[in-house]
Amino acid sequence: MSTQFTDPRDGRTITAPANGRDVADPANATGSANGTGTNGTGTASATGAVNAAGPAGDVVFLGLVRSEWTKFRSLRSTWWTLALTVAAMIGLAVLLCAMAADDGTTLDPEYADFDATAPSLGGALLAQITIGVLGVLMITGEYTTGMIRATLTLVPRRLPVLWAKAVVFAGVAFALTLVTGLLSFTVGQAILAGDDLSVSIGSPGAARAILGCAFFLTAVGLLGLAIGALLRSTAGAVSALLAVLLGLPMVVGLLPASMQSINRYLPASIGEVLISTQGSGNSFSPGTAAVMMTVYLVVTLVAAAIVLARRDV
Amino acid sequence: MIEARGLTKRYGEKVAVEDLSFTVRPGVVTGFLGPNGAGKSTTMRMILGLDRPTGGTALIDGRPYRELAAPMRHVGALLEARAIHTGRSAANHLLALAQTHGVARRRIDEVIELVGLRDVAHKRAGGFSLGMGQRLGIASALLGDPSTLILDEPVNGLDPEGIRWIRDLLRGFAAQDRAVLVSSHLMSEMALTATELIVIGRGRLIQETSVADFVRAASGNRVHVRSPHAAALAEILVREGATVTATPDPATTRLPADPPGHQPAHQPAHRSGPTPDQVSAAIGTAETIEVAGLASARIGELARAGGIALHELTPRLVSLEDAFMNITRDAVEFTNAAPAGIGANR
Repeated sequence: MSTQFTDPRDGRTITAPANGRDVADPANATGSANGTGTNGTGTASATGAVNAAGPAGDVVFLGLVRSEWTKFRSLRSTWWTLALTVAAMIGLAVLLCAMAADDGTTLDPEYADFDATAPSLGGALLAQITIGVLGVLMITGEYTTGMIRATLTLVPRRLPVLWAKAVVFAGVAFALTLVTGLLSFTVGQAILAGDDLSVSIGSPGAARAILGCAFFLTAVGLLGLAIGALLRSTAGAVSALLAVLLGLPMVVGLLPASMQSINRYLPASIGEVLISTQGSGNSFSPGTAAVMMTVYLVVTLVAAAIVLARRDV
Repeated sequence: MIEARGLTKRYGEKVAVEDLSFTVRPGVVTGFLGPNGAGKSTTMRMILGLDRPTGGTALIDGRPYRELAAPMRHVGALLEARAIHTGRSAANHLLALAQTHGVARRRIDEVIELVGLRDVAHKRAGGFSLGMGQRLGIASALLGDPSTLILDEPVNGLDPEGIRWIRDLLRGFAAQDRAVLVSSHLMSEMALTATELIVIGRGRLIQETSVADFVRAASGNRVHVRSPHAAALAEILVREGATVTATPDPATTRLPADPPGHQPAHQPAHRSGPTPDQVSAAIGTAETIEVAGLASARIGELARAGGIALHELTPRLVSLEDAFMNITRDAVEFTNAAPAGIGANR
């Protein structure tokens, strides 16, 4: 029982046996889908046996972390934003410390109150934007290009993908901002040392501020990742993140004086606490600030996870 | 192996797929046909767990897709919209996919080789042509050496050589007793690649059949015959119950068959149908005739018995495209509910 069709391109008649194997055209048998060398010519293996020695193992979390690391490192935008983060932190440290050195010696005789750590970590103000954008891009880049469909087809349980992204991002961001923070501190103190304003890393709060800076910047990036997962668009997520970090303090600033106490709950204020050696009067302690930042982060990540698990892609 | 049972997807009021049930068996290429917007892509996304069905289930090798421990081992998928980050190289794209299932790097090289992308493997996918993007998508689908392939419009953007490559690939894949579900808007291509068909319209199943039956049902079994003694042959064929038409003459009239076993010598004068003599006269010196009602094998045997040389004997099947147009037009015009169409043979 064979069926004939006329090839539309050259008018040749092609015979296709009803059992699906093409005997009229031996070339068709060469298209073996099995790259391991099984010859596709008629010798069909039993169902299931095909998979027995297949190349793919089960999906495990470590594999997803590897996969996300490959995705992360194989994009130019990653290295650009990381480079900008480093440049912002060290560049601003140099700039702010040089200015402080100037001020401290010539204008301010009461520099006993001077927090020498602050100008050397001041770059975090700029770095929070670049690291936040990097967090956003880590997931919106998949949505805007359609890559997310390939990713979620391979990991239909979905949530492990989000956690793997968070692990890779947090690892890279924390290590980088910690090292860069140390560098900024060292460079900044070297500049301040010329005017005898510098402190050592052993001075009260200095090491904690460097650690707090790395923690805050990592948390901001993860917040970007979560917001990116929620909004799926790069522009939307970056705008939302900037609104939270920079917009909210401005809005609160417009409110009556009685409502200014809201300010200390904002991520921006929490960041200030984490990055300074001395808490200001009406702020939380660094420990409380770290807990609050964690709560914000967990809430946003959980929201992102719920939406990711339910939504069609 | 894919089993869809009552798959339904609604977006608010709009029904994209309704109560769709079908089976994609291993060992054959199953074509997935339907007009644009019929719900093919939505159905494929539901099978792959990307869209959550409003109702019904889709099983892969007996289990819901989301419950598979190693989806890559079961299904390789190429979706219509590209699923590749434009900023990443082909090799890194495949590496990231492979690492989710612990696939060795050697296998990545194999699929890159298989789809012919070796020279551009380290170039950014954003610069790929549509055809190269499709090849990379196919490489991704083959990575886990899956038992089922799901391909949405795989020949999109491919040149004739690429189309032929896909055709050979899918047939070779099916020949290894694996299942293939492939959608295409190129019906002629489907006729060459698929052996089974799932036809849907407006999100509903219209037919689940074989390509051969689908076309045969639409064609009425016509055979194109060329012979230097066409008129004499026509006489014999009409006597056997066939309907014969002379083809080269545009003014041709269709000559209906006489009842089988009819003896022309004793033809009653009052009969209205043409006698074999009349058929023969109508055909005259024409060399090509179109025969309905007899299989090509029988025509050949009759010609041999009558000592008539045949220069051509071709079953004239309507193109899959025509059959498809007929059937989907019926579905759109006449029904919103029950499966309809010509020659449904299930």
